[in-house]
Amino acid sequence: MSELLSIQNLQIDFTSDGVTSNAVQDVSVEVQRGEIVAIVGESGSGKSVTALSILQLLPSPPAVFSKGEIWFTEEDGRKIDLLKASNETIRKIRGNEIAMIFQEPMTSLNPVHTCGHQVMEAIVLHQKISGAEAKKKTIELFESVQLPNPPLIYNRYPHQLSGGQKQRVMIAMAMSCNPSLLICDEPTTALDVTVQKTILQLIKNLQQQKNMGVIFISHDLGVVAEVADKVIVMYKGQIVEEGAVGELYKNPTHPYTKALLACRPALHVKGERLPIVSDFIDGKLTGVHDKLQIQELPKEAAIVVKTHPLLLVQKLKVWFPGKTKLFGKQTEFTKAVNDVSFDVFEGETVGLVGESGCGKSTLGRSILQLIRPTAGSILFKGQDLAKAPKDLLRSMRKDMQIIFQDPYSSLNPRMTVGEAIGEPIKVHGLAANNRQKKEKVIELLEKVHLRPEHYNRYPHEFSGGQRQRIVIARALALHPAFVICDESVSALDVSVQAQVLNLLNDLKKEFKFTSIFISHDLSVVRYISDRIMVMNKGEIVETGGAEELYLHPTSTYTQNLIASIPKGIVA
Amino acid sequence: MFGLVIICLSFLLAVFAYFIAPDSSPNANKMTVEIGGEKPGFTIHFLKIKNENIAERVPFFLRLVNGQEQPYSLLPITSYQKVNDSIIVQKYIDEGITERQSYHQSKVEQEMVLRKTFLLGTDKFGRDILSRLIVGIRVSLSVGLIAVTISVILGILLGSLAGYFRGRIDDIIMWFINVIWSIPTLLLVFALTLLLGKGFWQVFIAVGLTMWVNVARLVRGQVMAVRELEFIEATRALGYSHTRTIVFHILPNILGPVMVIAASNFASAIVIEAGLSFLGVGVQPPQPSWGLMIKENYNFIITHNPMLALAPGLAIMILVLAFNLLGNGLRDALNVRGKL
Repeated sequence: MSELLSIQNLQIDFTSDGVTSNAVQDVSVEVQRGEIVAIVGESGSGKSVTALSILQLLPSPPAVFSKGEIWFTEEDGRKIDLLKASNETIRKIRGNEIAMIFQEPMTSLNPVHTCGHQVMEAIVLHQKISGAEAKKKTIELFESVQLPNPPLIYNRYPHQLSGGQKQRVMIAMAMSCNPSLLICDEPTTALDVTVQKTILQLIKNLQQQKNMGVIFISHDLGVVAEVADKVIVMYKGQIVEEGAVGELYKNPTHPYTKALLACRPALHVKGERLPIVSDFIDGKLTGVHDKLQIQELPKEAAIVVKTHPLLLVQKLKVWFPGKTKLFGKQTEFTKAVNDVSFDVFEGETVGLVGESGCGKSTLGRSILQLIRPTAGSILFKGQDLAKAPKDLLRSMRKDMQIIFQDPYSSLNPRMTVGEAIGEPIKVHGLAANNRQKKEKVIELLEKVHLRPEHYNRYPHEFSGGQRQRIVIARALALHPAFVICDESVSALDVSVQAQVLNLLNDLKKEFKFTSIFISHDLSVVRYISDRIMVMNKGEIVETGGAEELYLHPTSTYTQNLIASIPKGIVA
Repeated sequence: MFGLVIICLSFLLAVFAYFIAPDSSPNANKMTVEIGGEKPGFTIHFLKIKNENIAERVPFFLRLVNGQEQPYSLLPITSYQKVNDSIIVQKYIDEGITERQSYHQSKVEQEMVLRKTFLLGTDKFGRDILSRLIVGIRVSLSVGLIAVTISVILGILLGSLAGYFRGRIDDIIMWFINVIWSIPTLLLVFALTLLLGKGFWQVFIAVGLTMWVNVARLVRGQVMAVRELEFIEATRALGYSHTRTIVFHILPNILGPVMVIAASNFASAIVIEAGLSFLGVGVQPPQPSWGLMIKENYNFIITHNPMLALAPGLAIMILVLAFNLLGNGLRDALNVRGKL
């Protein structure tokens, strides 16, 4: 093995309006040829900034490289410092010797060119060969990334491909010039677990074939364990721990690494309190498998008394119009939810799992009548919501709430937190006057572990986890009997996710609401739910008790889904 | 910043126009035919002659709005002398030509001679260009203000209805917008002025009714983008009414672009009004308007006195530039952090 890239004592600052903030501090990374180095950290830890600085892709200003060197060994053995290289030199290295794959396959391809054309362009640009040769090479590349029917894909536009296929095209593009270093910035985060698994395998295979060095950036320790040789853990712009993957997972030394490993819900049984980062930093916990010394509620909470169903969904269909004939006659439909029947009992938490596009979100929204179902009935407390008149529906909304996925777009940026939480109270007339309303809001803020002084702040002053807690407070302001959590923790970091899951568990006990928990992440759903429903292509394929379904899945789809989850255990 | 200063200044000038302008008669319409078409900086002495019927003193507020007739009329003179109780003057008729006239002392004011400088010269009726320019600001600013108010109200109302409800409502409103859009602005203004009659207010309304289309299209697009965000879906889940969602949740989030387009509409309203007045369908004489002043004086551009038409032209340019700069400034200022 020979050294490929060496980052030494890198420090990156960002300046804006004269204020300098430190993004990366004293980071040293070494990558050998044929080695996969993973950089793990949560959002804001500086992992992406470090990776982008290798290719000089950070806009400067605001980025300032105050210290450090990035030495890259070229094909011919010469070493250059990328930080000091001219724009011309960097441009030759980009795409040619160092290639990069980005997180979002949906937006990193240009929608107006065919996939083949885009890959070919990169080849022609860097290798100076004729169009026909480049085309042949492109099709070969498509074959090597295991795209089905490469000549056909060559002429397809990006919107005609699935997310996984697009990511394969991106990998083909990155591989087109046989780079010696490949930087993958969260390449599988936007993909479904089953697709993620195949993409990870592909990257690993290609890396072994071509003896490349790979820098793999991820927030997910489970994913990293599957591919990496060496792991670097970053926290607040600094490297807190690094080591060979097996060693680091078995014997983490830094409390932050321990916390990251411990707070994944997959390791915990239902209802158990998830440890969070501060537990480890404060020294309350030391080992990954230590349990928090908090008295557990007696198990009675887990046993659902099957009295009567709160929600009864029968033969629900939600079809969206697809192609229309001339004169607007519908000829085809997208069957987002097709003939689904289930019931939810009072006090129960039902998990709804499925991959993107399976119709789980549509199902959730049609229960709340945010999308009008095409057919079927939804009985909530004995009242058919699909047929309820508008006024009745509006007053019934008090009883059912939804917590959305994206904490950034689910709050009105022009409204203070206090106003946002207070508004439903005012609209539904739950407070006699403004003072009473404010008291209620502050009480809610405290319930979700925010402080009363946050009342007059705007959403942009909060982090993702805090915003999600504000959204939870807003939903609970009406004391709903039924809450739908639509991917409510998916956009959050693992450690923040643990906090929010703990909070949801606490609030569930306190407010005694029934809920449907929608997620693509089976391990989260298993942790929080009593029962799980697995959805695929608009239909429910399997229903069962959480543990039972997780450990003994019966349908092949569920088996496949569970097998694809990165276990975070080194093989 | 420059834009804001100019706009504040012009608002002040417009409000106190009759106190600031050298000629404070209504519409700055004091004609002295003898001194018509003089160059900027022209200075002459006047003899103040008492009017036959003395005008009543107008109260302050009305004076602010309409100005006041002077209790005397002015006679341009080159020299004067007192003989017994009469005054003999050389009346100025044109460059080099004078006429000897005599007036009885009782007919002239106590301080009988007045020296006046016309900073921007005079038009062919001998009216002070500077005064007319200052009073003319009122027309330009009020046309902008009223047209923008009308267009923003109509535009936000129809645009947000179309963008929020989509479907049939959207189709109808968009059809209406496209119809209005297809009619050339000037033609529509002609039609409206013919319908409502020529004059001051008609122009304002006509311009406003043509400009709402811009605002409506912009608002519709913005609303369509914002309504897809989760916090709008949340308002439905929380059981808020449509009115509440639009007014409290959507509109505050699209206000930035609307302000910017309002500022640029202000500028284009000024230009449209000037154009209409120039064509003779806008503000009617004797009321001073910049477009009208250009119309009255544009044939002097190639002769001896281009300043007569250039001054209002420059004034239009500066004011329009100021509003466009204000628009840019607003766009930067409203681009708050945490915006979508």
